[in-house]
Amino acid sequence: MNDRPDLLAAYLESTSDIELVLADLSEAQLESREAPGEWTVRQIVHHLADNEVADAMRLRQMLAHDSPLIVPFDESLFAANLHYDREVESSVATFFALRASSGALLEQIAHEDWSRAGRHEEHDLYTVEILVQKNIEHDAAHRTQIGRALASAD
Amino acid sequence: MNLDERADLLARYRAAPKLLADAVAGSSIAQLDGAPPEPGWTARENVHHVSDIAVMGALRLRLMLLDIEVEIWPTDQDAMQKRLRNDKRPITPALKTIEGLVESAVSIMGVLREDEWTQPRPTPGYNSRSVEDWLAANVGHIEQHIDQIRYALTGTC
Repeated sequence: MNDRPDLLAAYLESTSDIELVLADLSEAQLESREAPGEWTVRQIVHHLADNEVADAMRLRQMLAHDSPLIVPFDESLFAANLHYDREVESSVATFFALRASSGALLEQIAHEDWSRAGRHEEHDLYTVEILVQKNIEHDAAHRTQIGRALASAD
Repeated sequence: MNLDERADLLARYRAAPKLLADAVAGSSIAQLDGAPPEPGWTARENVHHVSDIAVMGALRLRLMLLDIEVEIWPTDQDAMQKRLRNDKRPITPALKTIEGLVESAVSIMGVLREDEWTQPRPTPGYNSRSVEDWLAANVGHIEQHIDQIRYALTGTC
């Protein structure tokens, strides 16, 4: 088990690298991608926001309910059907606002609440702590992906 | 719903986060946590409720557009308020969340085709709803809670 204060700090901090890399991107940079068939930076930003919406909901469900059903979503469906060619500003704002809001919620919960769990179709055990850890890993993976996409455009 | 009615709803929806923020601006902690004149939620609890429902609504809008039918929210809102510590959490992150989610939804709705606006979609808890129905319900919900906040803070709407 990770130290939860450290985990919470990492959860709140892990968006800062993304914030730095997204600052002042040009339209051309937003359209860059690591390789043909990969997502553009613009699409990754929308994915980050939509993932944050889903995980904010899952967090609240697990805290408010006993063993709620946690349904996984096909991220490619989101990208294909939610107009991921649109402007990114509102997705950027949504991503950071939701992370701050979920972080503030986690700051208030009791120690034992970190072990509250949902029934996830793809995981035997899915707790608040695991959700937070997965978000940190998700941020890092997409921060790296954005970096590779921008590098490929240089 | 005609296009003028839809545009009016969109304008009211987009204006709602600022009206909500203005309603609580300058309030002291005691005012935010003060009991309303009649039994009900405090201003702080109302803000968090709007934020929590905005999260639910944001996910529901996306799932509607993907034709994914999933039950995603509880029915016992008072229990939810208690479990999410909505009487204790700071309201600034919640206000920012509402602002971001509203702008995000406006951005999505701004690029929808006409058929995406009006197509009825199976929605748990409802017979079926279109994006237009979603917008009308969410505008009504936020405005109702802005009135409740004003009432909790001042005793009048």
